[in-house]
Amino acid sequence: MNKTLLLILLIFINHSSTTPSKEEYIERQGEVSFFSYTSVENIQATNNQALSIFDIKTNEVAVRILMRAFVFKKSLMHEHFNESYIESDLYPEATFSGTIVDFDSSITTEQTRIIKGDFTLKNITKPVEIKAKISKIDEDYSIDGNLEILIEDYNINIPALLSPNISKKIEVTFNFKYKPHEK
Amino acid sequence: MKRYLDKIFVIVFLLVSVAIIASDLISKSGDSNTIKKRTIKQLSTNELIFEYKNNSLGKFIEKAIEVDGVLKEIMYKNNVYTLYLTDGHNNTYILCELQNDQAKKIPNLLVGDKVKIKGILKGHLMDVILLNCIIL
Repeated sequence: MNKTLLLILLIFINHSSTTPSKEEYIERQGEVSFFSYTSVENIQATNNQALSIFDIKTNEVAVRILMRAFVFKKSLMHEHFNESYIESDLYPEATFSGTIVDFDSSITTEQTRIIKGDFTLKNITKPVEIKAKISKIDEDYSIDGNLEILIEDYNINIPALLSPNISKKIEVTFNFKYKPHEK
Repeated sequence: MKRYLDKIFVIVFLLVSVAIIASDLISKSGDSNTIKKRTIKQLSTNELIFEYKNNSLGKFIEKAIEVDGVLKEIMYKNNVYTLYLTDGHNNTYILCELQNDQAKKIPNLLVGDKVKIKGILKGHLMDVILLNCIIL
């Protein structure tokens, strides 16, 4: 199954029966946070609405993030983020699809691996490499890691007046806890 | 005398500025309180899932809606409670991420109960997603 197919499966997934899959794992409410550090202001937002599928047979991971679900300390930041920077009406989701390099599903202890894939934001897709920790806990898996994205890569336009407040490099962290996918 | 008036002017200007900034920070900070927001629509879980499958959720985005349905699951994750509502037919759920002040109501809920919530519709992934929900 290639990465595009996995992402399409994630988008059009249909739960028509309730048989747990031994190969596919699902996280319906993954946590994704981002941080922007500048000398003027630190901005942080957290989102518990990331959907992800992890296929331990093909080592593929697909993620969809609902952009409007980022929670900020100030509602004005939420408004700027959705209306001006991300344009959530036009681009409601960010997506990632990739493969965990050298993942071994027979290992029951924590594995630190690189996930290579494509991250898409505002219809712009860039290749990314993410260092992640993968753990098996009983029948479940968890994957957490972080990556940095450059706002200039994704056509995010910051007004000159606010430019000192927003870092050009955004740190993104994620924490997904997967359960066997019932389908 | 003029210097004295100038000083008063500067002090008054500074006080007004601080008051405006403080007022702005207070009004713009923290989670929005859903209870104060006007409900624009009341729907059943089945009706809301129908709107989702009909690609017509757009009119409710960032608006407060009330939804009733059967409680499928209570999830506590990342320090937030989420209620999963089902219509009993679909495996698409309504995910209602609760406001922090609603945690005290959780012990009174049982899976299978009929519940009614009010929340801000954010969109959908596999499920329809509402944040800042309160239990009615």
